[in-house]
Amino acid sequence: MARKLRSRPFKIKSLQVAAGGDHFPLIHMKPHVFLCCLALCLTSLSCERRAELKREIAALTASFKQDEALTRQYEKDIAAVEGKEFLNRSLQQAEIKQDQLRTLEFINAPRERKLSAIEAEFATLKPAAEAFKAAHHK
Amino acid sequence: MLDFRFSSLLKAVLLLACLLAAFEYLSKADKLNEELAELKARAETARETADLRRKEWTEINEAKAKLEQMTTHMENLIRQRDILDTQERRLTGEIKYLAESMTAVVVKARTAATGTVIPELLLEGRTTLHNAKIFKINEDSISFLHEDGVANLHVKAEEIPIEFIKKYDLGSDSIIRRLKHLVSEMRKSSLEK
Repeated sequence: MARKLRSRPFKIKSLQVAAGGDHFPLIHMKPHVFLCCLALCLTSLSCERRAELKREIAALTASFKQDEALTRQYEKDIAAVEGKEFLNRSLQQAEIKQDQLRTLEFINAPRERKLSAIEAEFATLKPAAEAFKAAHHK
Repeated sequence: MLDFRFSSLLKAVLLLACLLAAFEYLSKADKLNEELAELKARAETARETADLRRKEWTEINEAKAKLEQMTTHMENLIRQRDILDTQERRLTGEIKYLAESMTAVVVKARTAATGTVIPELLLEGRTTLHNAKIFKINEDSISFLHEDGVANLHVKAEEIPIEFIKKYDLGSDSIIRRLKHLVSEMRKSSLEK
């Protein structure tokens, strides 16, 4: 039986048909050569797939580490300004300031208009008054 | 010793190698896939946490920027208020000074005019006054003593000639009245403050 196998080339019928004859090189391989090739192919495939997975894992690890570093940095920055407390305090202060601003705007704007009107009136009265005074000082 | 070319041992070894290679491939691939899935889940969580912290930080920065903007605006308004205070003080001083000096000059002019005799005072729509002597000058009127009696002429009734109105600063539109009005406006303005 062993002798028989040794002497006979390893044939795959379907491949033979697909190749269109008996002269396709792979088909006439000896069984141990075929097995060697298969083992090499599987090893190569395994290596390739592993390399691909490792690349993916490396990329994900890098992204994960970057996100973790970012989180740490943000947490550090937030802690430095006292985080939520600062935010609440800022919002409260903003509300108080908004009221103060409204009051100041409410006072300043009409006051400015009134002073401008008085100044304009005074600017017309002053020369007339000066002329009157000059006329009566003669 | 062993015939490696065709021995069944070699074939068995090769077959075993193939099987081992296949097993290794499958087991390692499974392990790596598992690791990848776990890492993906952790990376997703890490990304979500980072996004959350980024959002918090952005909110804090926005609140900070808003507060700073308000502080700047507030400083501008306070500066504007100070400028208005200065302007008001300066204007009050100038108006008061002019009103006081003008009052003094007007009073002096009116006092000096008392007793002045005008031989013929032509009045619009009225009989001419002869030897009209200025008896008293008020803010809105002038009283004359003349040959035929006493005449009290009012600015409102347009009885006084325009040159008298100008000369003695009479009427509701007089300089002194307008200045006094400005003084009272400034006083009101400082009280409202």
